[in-house]
Amino acid sequence: MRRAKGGFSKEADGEEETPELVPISVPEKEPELVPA
Amino acid sequence: MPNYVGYRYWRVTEDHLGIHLHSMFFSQEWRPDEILRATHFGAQDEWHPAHPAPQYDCECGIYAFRTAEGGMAGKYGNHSVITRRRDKTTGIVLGAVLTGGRVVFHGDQGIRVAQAQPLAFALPDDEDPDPLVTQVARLFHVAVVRYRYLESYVREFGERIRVVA
Repeated sequence: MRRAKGGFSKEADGEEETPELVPISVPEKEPELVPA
Repeated sequence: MPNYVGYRYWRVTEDHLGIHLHSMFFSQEWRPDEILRATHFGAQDEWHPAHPAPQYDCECGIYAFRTAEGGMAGKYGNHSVITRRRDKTTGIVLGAVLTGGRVVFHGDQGIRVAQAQPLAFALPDDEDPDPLVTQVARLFHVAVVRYRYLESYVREFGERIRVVA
């Protein structure tokens, strides 16, 4: 289902409850170290 | 239920205090090692009561695209993920965020979320790295990756969001 232009529809747009974020530690990597 | 990954552009500014990361169209500053939490700050009256953000029938929340291309890359050139003004103190960077809390699927390509934290910033594929991107990544303690690796890199942190065909 698509929403009408300019309008909102809970069914069409959808929403989800996802887990609360907790601060994460992201490794710092140089671009060359990231695999394809 | 997974946490989703989204993609955004930010404004980067630089002053005597250092580098600052801002939302594209608002003054909202993103701070290192902090989770940004959405608030509804629009009109609040009997017709528009205060509510948690994001809400599906509002426009509040932290915006992100579902894919790195996101329909916006073309506006800044073909995967040219950073641009600078002539004064060299302001740029635009592309990156990925991990999202949390309520997620509203916004249109065909976007989401609005309650919480977000940067995961990585992107360098153009075939250009010399702009030091500004690297400086931003260092400030936020996250990776810098070539644009073509961005989606595969952040997949290890969260789920890709479905894209409406």
